[in-house]
Amino acid sequence: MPVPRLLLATLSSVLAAASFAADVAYSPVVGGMAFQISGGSLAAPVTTRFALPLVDFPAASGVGVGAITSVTSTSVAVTGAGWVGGALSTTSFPYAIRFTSGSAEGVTLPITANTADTLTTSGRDLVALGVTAGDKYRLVPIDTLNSLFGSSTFLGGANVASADVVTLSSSVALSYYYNTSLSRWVRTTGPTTDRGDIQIPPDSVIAVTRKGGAIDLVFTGIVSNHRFAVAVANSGSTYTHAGFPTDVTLAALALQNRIPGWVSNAAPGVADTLAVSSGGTWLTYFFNGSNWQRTTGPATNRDSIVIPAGAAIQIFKRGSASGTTDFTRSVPF
Amino acid sequence: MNRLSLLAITCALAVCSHGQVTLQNFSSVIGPNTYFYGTWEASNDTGGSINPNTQFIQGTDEYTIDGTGVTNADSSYIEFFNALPVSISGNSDYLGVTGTLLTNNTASSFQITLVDNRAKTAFATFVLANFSVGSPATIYSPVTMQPGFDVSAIDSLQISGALPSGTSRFSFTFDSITAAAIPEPSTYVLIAMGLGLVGLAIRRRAQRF
Repeated sequence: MPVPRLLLATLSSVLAAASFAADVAYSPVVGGMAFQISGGSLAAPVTTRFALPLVDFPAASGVGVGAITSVTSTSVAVTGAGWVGGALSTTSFPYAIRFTSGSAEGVTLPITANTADTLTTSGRDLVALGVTAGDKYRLVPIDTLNSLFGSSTFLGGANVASADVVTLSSSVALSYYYNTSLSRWVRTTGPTTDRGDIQIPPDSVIAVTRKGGAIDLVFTGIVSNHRFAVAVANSGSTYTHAGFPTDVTLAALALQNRIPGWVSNAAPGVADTLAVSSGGTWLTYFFNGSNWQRTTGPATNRDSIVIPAGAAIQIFKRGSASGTTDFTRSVPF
Repeated sequence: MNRLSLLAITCALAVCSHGQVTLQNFSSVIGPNTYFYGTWEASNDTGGSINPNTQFIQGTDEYTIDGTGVTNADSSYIEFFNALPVSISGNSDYLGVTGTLLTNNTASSFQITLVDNRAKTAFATFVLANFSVGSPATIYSPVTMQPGFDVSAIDSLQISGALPSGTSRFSFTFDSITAAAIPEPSTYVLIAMGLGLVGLAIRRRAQRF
């Protein structure tokens, strides 16, 4: 029985998980996460941000979880994978590969092309990442606006003023709404090109600016049992989550130890910062060399502040260097 | 004092005790406990500071945010920190804002966020069209709380333009921000009784003389 990845809050996550477990040949830990999207109005919209640590099940034919046979800087081969050529790189149902062991454990890269036994990836040099034969992988479906939200999850409208706005943030933030006159997702600015196949990058942040009543969203998926890794821009903002569907304190997350080159400083205007989405706002923290504290307000020790599971975070690096550095975190359970 | 007058006073006291908590009176905004963040900060610093954008002006018991030339990003805000946690227990259903709309405002709404001492938040949004130009009005808006928000330990209060477009001018003069409760139906009855009895007492006294 197929179960949609996004449920509109009526089906319990436990039931959803049970349904999934009955459908698959292997037994990954599955679960659901519920997010309440706060209600707003046309005149006073309210923005709720969240991120998804759970990943979807691969639906394409072929080996979805396995070990790599060989690797080049831009491709991996898996003998006998049995994939359908091009099926993992369509615009409507794109896939990524996530390495689940080895030096690149946790790294997720989009698949740009595939044959029956080879995947071509983009974004990182696989050899430089240390990917080698024998490393394990999982295919991860990449959500799109169409596949995750469809046309009716949010309030659509003939123009942006009358519709809910969905903003997708990883390194940049771009906003979309469902145009009911054109029956498609479009950008809030610029031409009304069909953007339904816009990818929602794994581990990115989704912000919903709601003009209708409050709604609950329940997402189902696989709970990761391997290291989390996400590329953090060496300069500017990266939007993501804390890595796993569990609460974590600022002290336990310890970004200052998990992102090489993290700048700690007693001055918040000098230090790198971590902003945590809370309600409709961001609360921003920095590591002063001894403990975490808010960038605004008194110098209270905030080490024990909890980042809820699925909370959106913004990592802000003040450096001017180009490129990225991986934020990695081991399985906390 | 006769029994009727006593009852009237009791009911009136019930009305008065159904009060509200003043969270900010804007008499002296600038200081060590007030921070400006993002584009609302003097040098647009993401670390925030106690230095406001130059378009922001302290008045007599009021504070003006003039949005001319100030990007109204939803990540920009003023945050007022309390020296000690403040409780709005019993008065946490609504936030009330008293203020005046400025003629150059083009924003549609703003948001007030309360932050407790464990970084849980509660917020209320205000439609600017409900305020008036030229004279202050008080508007109440219901509070939406995160699960676990502690109404007895409020650490700070934020004001943000909070608009998705990020370009509209938010121009407004704040007089006060309060927290208030929804009166229970029984309280409405008590209020009505009190007002009726006060009127009756006044009428009897007038007849006596």
